[in-house]
Amino acid sequence: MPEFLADPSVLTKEKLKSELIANNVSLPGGEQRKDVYVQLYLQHLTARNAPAALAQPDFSSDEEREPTPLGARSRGGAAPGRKATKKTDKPRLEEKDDLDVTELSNEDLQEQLVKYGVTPGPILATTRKIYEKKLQKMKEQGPELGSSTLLPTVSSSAENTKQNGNNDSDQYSDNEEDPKVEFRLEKREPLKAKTKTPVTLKQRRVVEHNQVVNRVPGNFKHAAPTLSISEFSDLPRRTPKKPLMTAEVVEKTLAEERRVERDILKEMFPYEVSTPTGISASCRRPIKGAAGRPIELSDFRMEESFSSKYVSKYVPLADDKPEKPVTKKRSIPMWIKILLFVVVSVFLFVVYQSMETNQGNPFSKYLGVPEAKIQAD
Amino acid sequence: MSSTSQKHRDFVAEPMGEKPVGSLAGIGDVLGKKLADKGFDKAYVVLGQFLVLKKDEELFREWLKDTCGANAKQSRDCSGCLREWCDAFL
Repeated sequence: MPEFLADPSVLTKEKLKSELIANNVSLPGGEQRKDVYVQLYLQHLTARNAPAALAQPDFSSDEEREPTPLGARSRGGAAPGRKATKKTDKPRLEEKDDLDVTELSNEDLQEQLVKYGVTPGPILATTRKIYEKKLQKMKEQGPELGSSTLLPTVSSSAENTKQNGNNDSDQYSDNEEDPKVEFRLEKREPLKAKTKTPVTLKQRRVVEHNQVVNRVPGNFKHAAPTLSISEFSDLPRRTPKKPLMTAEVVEKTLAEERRVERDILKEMFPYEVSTPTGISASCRRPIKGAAGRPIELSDFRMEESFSSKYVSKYVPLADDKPEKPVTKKRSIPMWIKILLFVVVSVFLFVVYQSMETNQGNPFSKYLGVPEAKIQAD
Repeated sequence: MSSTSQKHRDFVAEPMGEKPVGSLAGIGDVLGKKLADKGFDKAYVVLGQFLVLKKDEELFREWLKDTCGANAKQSRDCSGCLREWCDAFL
């Protein structure tokens, strides 16, 4: 870099010569005295300094003249670099806006929410804070899903910087691959999310179909594990990453199956005991008339009370009074019997009354002649 | 028996009319006063807020928590109460 010194005599003769040559100043032939070169230096180079200084009045004259050419050159050198970085700056600026959720206007906040698939209501003074929170949540949850639109711009800008003749292209080649790889990964993940629902729907349909076909409760438990096995075998064909999330889906469908199982079972066997294993043991009724056992009418009634008592132990929702089913199954209700008894007794009393026609005091003979009676005895 | 309180059942049984905000399930004296101070003095104003949030229970619960400091149970009761009222009368 030429140093346009005000006092070129500080430089050596050789230096002066080289500076003059560098600035296309014709040197006098042969070796001259230093003064000659100093003069030449002053004439040409310092003179150049003056118009440069005049052209840039912003720069203070007190300062050395170094910054001005540097500044001019740096301007020119930085311009292509700035142009290259502008594209990368833009997405960064957009991201900065997103980070300050509170700085967004109502419309921008609404747009951002719609991007994440949320349909917000009107953003008013009361609702704004809530929607800001929601947006922040969505951003934390899905920066991978949401930024798939931003990445292509970043990768294209990287290519542009390459085209602009960046000498460090070898260093950036790795960086170029990374955004591409990330892009591929992001593409797979939205696929995952989308295909989750169709997979679950399919499984549900299969489950329903199985339920329709196999109504016997015993087969249910066999069907469920076979389903899961078939699902695991089917899925690897499609994509390698699916079995990870289908494990959760399978668990969910299994839980649903069990719930449906229980409902159907309850419909089919309302009187069955609901135990964890599904197995219930009831007391074996002694067979009447076998092995020399006498048959009695009372035995048939006891059967019903036995089973009803057993059921009432395990099924808390059943009637609290076990006597009720017993009483219901009797041919003649109790209260009718009592009523009949009362009616009969009243009838007999009326008959007795009607038979007693004597008006007199029935105890009059005893009152009148008690001694006569005793004497008669 | 369902897990709703008597207050819930009373509120959902009829149109709210001019009922005060304290008649909402989950909103007692303390929360009712806080809401009233913010301008939500009647149940229908809180209903308005619920509707503006597009009947999204989660968002409404967040709002309730921020506005009057309701805890999880209180906000759940209130949002459930309003949702059922809307299902019945709206």
